[in-house]
Amino acid sequence: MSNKIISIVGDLGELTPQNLSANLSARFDTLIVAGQHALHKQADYSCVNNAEQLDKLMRERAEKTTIIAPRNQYAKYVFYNKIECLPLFEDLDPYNFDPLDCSQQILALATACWIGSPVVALFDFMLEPKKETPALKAILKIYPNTVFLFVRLKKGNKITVFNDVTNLKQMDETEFSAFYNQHIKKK
Amino acid sequence: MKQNFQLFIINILKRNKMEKLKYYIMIEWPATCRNRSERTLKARPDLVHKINEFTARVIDICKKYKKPIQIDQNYNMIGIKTWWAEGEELYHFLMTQDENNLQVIPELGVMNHLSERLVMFKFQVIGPKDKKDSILVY
Repeated sequence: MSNKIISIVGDLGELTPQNLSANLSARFDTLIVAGQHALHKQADYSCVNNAEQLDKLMRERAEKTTIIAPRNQYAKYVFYNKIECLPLFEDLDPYNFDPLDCSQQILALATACWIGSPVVALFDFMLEPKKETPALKAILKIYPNTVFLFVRLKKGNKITVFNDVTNLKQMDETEFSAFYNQHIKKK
Repeated sequence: MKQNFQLFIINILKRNKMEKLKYYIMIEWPATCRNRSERTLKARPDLVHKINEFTARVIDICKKYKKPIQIDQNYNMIGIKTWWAEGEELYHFLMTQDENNLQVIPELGVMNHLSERLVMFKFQVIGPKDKKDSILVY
């Protein structure tokens, strides 16, 4: 597995195979998507905690994609290929992290952090003040030495909710490409 | 005595096609051979003979499958530890254990290739062998 930059595609639904540029696609080293995201057939991993979505994904999954599901849902497909059980998130244990009670994009983020990479890029990430944004910020704080990139397809105003997060950079697709090129050169 | 246990030492099947082994199950010894210490076996060549015959039969059954199957070479008192690469083949093996006159301990180890840890499950055969969901795993 390449760990250059792990990219996660969240639940927002703006990024589709149709509007995914070749430029961006070429910079997905390891791609993890939330459940049945439109890009799931291009992903290395799809994280799912919804039983219905899992059934659908198991019927539609591409050869490339490995589905990752919580233990109780995985048990149904234990004899199938290209599916794995979610790892134990030891780092998140003290925070009562429940893989069955979080969104699939948070599950994908937790998986990326578990795999481990100095840089994790977040695409198509849905923010929502009640649960999603606090959960996202909590994970960013648990991994202070990881650089998180919050990437939006088009340039927009900076999201102020991340003002107090030091290990997150906001950028658009062009800036991400530039960052990626520079990051790869450094290696 | 060493010669009697030769089967345990040579039985890694299809070595040249070795792939990642994912599933682990234990096939119980015939009832009269279970829970026998090596000391007991030294005094009971009849049981050793039965164990070797049983192992040879298990190997013959495993040879019918296409993907690699590894049989643990170390003796233990419960049965034969086997590792499987392909879930579909293991499913077939578990569904045909009665007709093969074998008894598999209803515990399934699955190597998580992400975490490289063995995750243990229990299972129960609940349906006919021609169906794909006849084994309940929990």
